[in-house]
Amino acid sequence: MQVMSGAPEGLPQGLYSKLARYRHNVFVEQLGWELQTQDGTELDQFDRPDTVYVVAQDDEGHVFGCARLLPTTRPYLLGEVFPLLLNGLPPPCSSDVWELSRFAAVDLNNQTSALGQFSSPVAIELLQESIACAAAHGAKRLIAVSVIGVERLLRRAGFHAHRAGPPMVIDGHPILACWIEID
Amino acid sequence: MNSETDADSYPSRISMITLSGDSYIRLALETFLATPLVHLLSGLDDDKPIIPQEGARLARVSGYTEWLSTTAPIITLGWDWELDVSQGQPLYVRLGSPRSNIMLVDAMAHDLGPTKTSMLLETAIDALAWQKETHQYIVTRYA
Repeated sequence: MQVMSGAPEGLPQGLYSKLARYRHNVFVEQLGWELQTQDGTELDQFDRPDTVYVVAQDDEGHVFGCARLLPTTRPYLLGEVFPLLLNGLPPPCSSDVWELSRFAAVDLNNQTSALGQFSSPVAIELLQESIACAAAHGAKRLIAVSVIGVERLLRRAGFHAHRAGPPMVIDGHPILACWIEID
Repeated sequence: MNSETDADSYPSRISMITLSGDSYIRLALETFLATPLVHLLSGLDDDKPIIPQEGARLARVSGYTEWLSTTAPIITLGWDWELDVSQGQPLYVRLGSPRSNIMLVDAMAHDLGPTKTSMLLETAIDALAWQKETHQYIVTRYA
């Protein structure tokens, strides 16, 4: 497993496009999320030049995991789209709080399903890499917008995490926001 | 008398459910135990779900369940479970620690901390009658 991280401009040539296609495959085709798509790619308004990505690839360069990191001092998914997941609190806005979203660890070549992805050691390693990457950008806490599986993965991986609010079923998918403390 | 004053003020103090800036709902164990929870959803871990049926030979079946309070702010509590088939009749058993937005506090409103809170919640969950509703939801969802 090779993990690359950085803003789009800092990623190896072609990786950003592969990431966008991978996200379409996982989130749109497998999980059935209704997301903004174009020509078999999934990108939204939060995929910007300053967005930080963590991408896992196998030895042949196939993407099999990803995460998206956004500073909460600029528009981010939870604050703009899902503030209702915060149980009535205002969305965080701080340079030491970053958002983790679009986390996936599905190996498309080995038939790992999107439903079972969060039980794999790869998922834990990718999560650890993502949190380390956020810390390297100054994060002391992460707020994650995710399916329940990611929260369960956090717990199994030994991270200190607690919920920011209750899960909500949105477009048929239960999602929630949870805090991850970076020790 | 001071003790009477303390005793008089204690119930109102422990009955408060407040949402803190760190997203925790801080409350006393007694208040939590007195707060009804309703089932939100449950799910199976397996990619290809196995519906637990009487008389069927079961592989390991596990999943998760989510419960909420009807209060504002909302208390959220979820935990993993597995089916224990060792006693013949399949039995839903909690696995591991719960996931929540709860921070239990003592009589002086001091945090008990994540570890002690989790332990107390585990005991509380094991005393709840959550199995039947979870089973019914699972059977309906994966039918």
